Formats: sequence, structure tokens, C-alpha cells
Amino acid sequence: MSGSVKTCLFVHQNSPHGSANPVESLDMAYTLSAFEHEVSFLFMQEGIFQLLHDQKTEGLGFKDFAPAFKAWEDFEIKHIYVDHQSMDDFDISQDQLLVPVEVISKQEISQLFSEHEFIFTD
Amino acid sequence: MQKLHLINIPPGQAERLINAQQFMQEKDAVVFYEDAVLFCKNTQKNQSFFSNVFKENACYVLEADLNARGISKANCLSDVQVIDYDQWVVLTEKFDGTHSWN
Repeated sequence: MSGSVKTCLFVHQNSPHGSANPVESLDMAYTLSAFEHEVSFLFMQEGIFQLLHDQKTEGLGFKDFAPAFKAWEDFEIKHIYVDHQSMDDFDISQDQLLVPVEVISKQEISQLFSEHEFIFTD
Repeated sequence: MQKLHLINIPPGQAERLINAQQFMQEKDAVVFYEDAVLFCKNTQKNQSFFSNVFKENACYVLEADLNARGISKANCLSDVQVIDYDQWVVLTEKFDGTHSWN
């Protein structure tokens, strides 16, 4: 990173808890934001489950990283987008999510991709 | 914005790659690395896949990952250019941004 501000989009498409990917991606996103880059998230496919409230992970012995998502404001994350189709496919409504989100269409996702310089998928 | 797409999706998850390609623009290029290099072995199936899915985009494959998986340059699809890490860096500098898929 040579000093210019980059527009960064982190695409989360994986189910939580099956791999370390979502947490690692979240760490990277917050780090980039701390270094003044403009960071947003897009949750799609199984990734929307990362945002679902009431995740009780004690039975697996995992730490619940849901509180980390709630810190999005502290880390100055610009936008949290969610794919409309994925919400429908998994029958999840906005009020079941941990944080306020902007629900977008596939066309808007395409637009998002063309607007961000650095895009990383979990 | 012209993008360089970084693909590490293996052939077993080809559907993810097909979905990714739908978001690519004509002048975008693609680098296949890690398990995705398996897409680049010169087989009839791979040739058919590339001519259907990636006819528009310049494609590159990382030599170190090919070598690790026992695929020689000679066994690679002719449409895909084999590159090393240094060449990957040079390539990245030519584009406005990168899109890493998984």
C-alpha cells in the first residue's frame, strides 16, 4: 500500500464456522480500514449466515465472532450490502440480522464490483 | 475499470468459476493459481471449458503451482500463458484493480 486510498470490497460467501475464512477476511477488512482505506462488505450465498443473529457456538467450543461484526461502525466500514436473492433463497429477513444492511440486486452487485479497486472473497 | 481476476477455485467447484466469469468485463484478465491451475491442464474437457467460458479474457497460470502439481508447461492449454511470481506482479501493475475469487 503506497499511500493512495483504495476502495475495497470484502465479499463473504461462505457459511460461518466451517472454515477460518470469514474471520480472517474480517480481520483483513478491519485492518485495511484502520489504514484509512474505504472498506465495504457484501454478504451473499451462505455468507449471509455470518450475519444471522442468535448464533450459539458454545456447543462447538468456538468463539462467536458475531460481536466483531457489530463493531463495524467503530472500524468505519462504509457499507454493508446483502444480496437480495440469497436472502430469499435462505428465507432470511433483514430483522434477523445482527447489523443494519443495504439489500441489493445482482445488477447492483455488478455495479459494486466495477466501483471497487480491491475485491477479496472469503 | 480494468480488473485482474485471481482464481484459486478448483475444477470440482467449476460452477463458482462460471458465476465469477459472468461478472468479468471483456478487457479483464485472469490468473489461475493454487488448485485452479488444474483447469489449465491440456485436456479436451478443459479446452472445451475455456472456449465456452473464457473466450474473451486473457488467461494466465502460475508456474510454481503447475510444477507442484506435476503439470509441465508443455502439458498446459496453449491459450493460457504460464507466468512466474515476478511476471504476476508486473501484470497486476497494468490493471486498475484486482478481484480475488474463492
